[in-house]
Amino acid sequence: MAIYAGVRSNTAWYGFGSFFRESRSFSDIDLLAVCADVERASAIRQEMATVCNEWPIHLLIMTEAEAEETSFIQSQQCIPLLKAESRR
Amino acid sequence: MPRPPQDTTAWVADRIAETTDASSTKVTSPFTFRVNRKDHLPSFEVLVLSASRVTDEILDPLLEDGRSVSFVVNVPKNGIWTESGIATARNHDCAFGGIGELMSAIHQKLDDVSFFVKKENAFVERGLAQHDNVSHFDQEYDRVYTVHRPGMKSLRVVLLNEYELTAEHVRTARTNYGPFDIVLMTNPNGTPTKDALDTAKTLQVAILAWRQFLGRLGSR
Repeated sequence: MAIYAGVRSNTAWYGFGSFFRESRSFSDIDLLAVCADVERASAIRQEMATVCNEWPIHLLIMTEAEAEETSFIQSQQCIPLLKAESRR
Repeated sequence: MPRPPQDTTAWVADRIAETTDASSTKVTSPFTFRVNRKDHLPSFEVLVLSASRVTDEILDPLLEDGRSVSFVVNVPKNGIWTESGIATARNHDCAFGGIGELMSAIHQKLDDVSFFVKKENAFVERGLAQHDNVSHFDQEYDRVYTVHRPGMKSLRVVLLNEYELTAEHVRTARTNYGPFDIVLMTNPNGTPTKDALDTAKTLQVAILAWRQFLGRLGSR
């Protein structure tokens, strides 16, 4: 539900880290959300609060500029989970 | 609907049982499980919480019932340990942290797991204790210290261990902890993004690496 709210708001979701590499042992579930700007990043943190309080989710939220600047998606071989809706 | 505590406890116990240094785990109550270790190391009891903020009010009732707990694990990755929560854990001779810290504690093969201290905090506290310009420091949260300096303004410091330090990390720290002076990047390979630096500038916060931080402690 929370992730769906993010999708509606032009957010792309990725998985990375040991959980998504099917490692036998993992301490958290690494998720990356990429959104347009810092305001939206703060809103995603709030929307995801409930699920993040119940599961060991490491939620990294980047603006599109940050994702490009760091090349994080490529360097961490992030797995696309949900694409951002195209903007209207 | 929130996840029942016994489900969370069983889930964490399963994760720990999968680690190489644990031989098995056994759930002993809705909030606790026992870790049996390899190499004849003593087994120990873990208390499991799912709290966005760990306080004495949450922890006291769970630790006051006579259980011999060595480690309190809080499941949310972004969960905050308040000063009162830390004090309560320490008063009951418990180590504390997230699942990653519990795994580290087991991996370190300490005879008594309750002596475990997160490396990041131990490193920072040792550096502060040895610094000429620090009279004393208070830990307000697991990631927040107020550093007192003789004849100079105290500094409120937030520890962030991110590899990619983003604008959202800086903003969330502000939301969680209120105003502060410095973000101390405790990840030696950590780098702030341009947006993070812009956000910090707006909030009038400095983002510093360890050596820069040590230098800042000596300046007004």
